[in-house]
Amino acid sequence: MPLSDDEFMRYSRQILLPEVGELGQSALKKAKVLIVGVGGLGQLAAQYLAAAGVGQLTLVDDDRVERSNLPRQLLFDDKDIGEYKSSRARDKLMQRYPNSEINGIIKRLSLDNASGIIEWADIVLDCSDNLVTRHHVNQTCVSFPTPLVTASVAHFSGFLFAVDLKQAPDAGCYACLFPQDSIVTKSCSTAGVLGPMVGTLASIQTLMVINLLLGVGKVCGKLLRFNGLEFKWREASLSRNPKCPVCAGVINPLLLDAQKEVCHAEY
Amino acid sequence: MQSINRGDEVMENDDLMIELLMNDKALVIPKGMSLAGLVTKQQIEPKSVALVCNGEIVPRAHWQERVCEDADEIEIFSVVAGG
Ligand SMILES: [Zn+2]
Repeated sequence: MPLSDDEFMRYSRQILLPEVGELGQSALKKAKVLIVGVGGLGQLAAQYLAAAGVGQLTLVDDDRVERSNLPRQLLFDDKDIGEYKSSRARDKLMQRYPNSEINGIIKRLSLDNASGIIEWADIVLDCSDNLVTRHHVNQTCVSFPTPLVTASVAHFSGFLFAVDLKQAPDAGCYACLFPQDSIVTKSCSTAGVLGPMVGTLASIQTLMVINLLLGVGKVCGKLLRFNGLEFKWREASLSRNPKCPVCAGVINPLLLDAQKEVCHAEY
Repeated sequence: MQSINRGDEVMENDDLMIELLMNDKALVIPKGMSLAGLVTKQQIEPKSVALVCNGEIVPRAHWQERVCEDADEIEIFSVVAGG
């Protein structure tokens, strides 16, 4: 997809990076990205991605803007209180970034509607605020499989990682790490959260997504955790649960295919 | 007599106990304890946390069969889902 003169100027500091270049910028322009949840993480990720020149962005959320969102959801202001987040975010981003096509879907993503929404996307950001939605996003992404970058934050801790069954089958999926019967003891509404904590996680999440869209970097296979009181990042390698009810049925055939390829290569 | 007994007890304990790091703090636990046992011993609800052992995630399904080793570095962290 060729870039216009305006785009060359606008994205020149990105194109300057050897890891991006003209090809990479075109890849971003071609990309279709889905953001599930337009809260603290989602509204920032959406701004970064639209500003960076991602061609198509879809925002899914059925929540309305509340006064208590404003300290960390900087895309919104007092006039937006009571409006749907996904449609306000869409309107504001379209005005600011006319190069990007922005869609807003006023729905809560569930297993019933997830396939139709995720099918369209090259990559998904899970920015939702509850475990049920996170499992629905994961399960649907795994079924395609569509790469997923999931981030979450509450109190002074947050973590994020990518699920990409093609690139990193051994890292498994969200349910390998947190099985579906997991219990959340800390949420933003019960434990509280600070804007910059959310911003830190959203920034790294978006950076991971851009890396994956460009096909650069070492995003997959690791879980990153940040503690905003100790100021420590910790890394752990992800490992799949071979009996995971969500991904085992998808990964095992993928691994078999990979083995067959190796066998063919030997002959 | 008593002090000798106490000495024997300590020696015996050394054989039966191991020391590991749990969220950066040293912890002495009985030899042979599983990761599941360790989590429960800390009075943590197993379904509310994930576990890293020596830099690697251990899926919850494996906590029962995996035995803690001396000098293991274990991190346990809560599930957060906020966005
Ligand atoms: Zn899985």
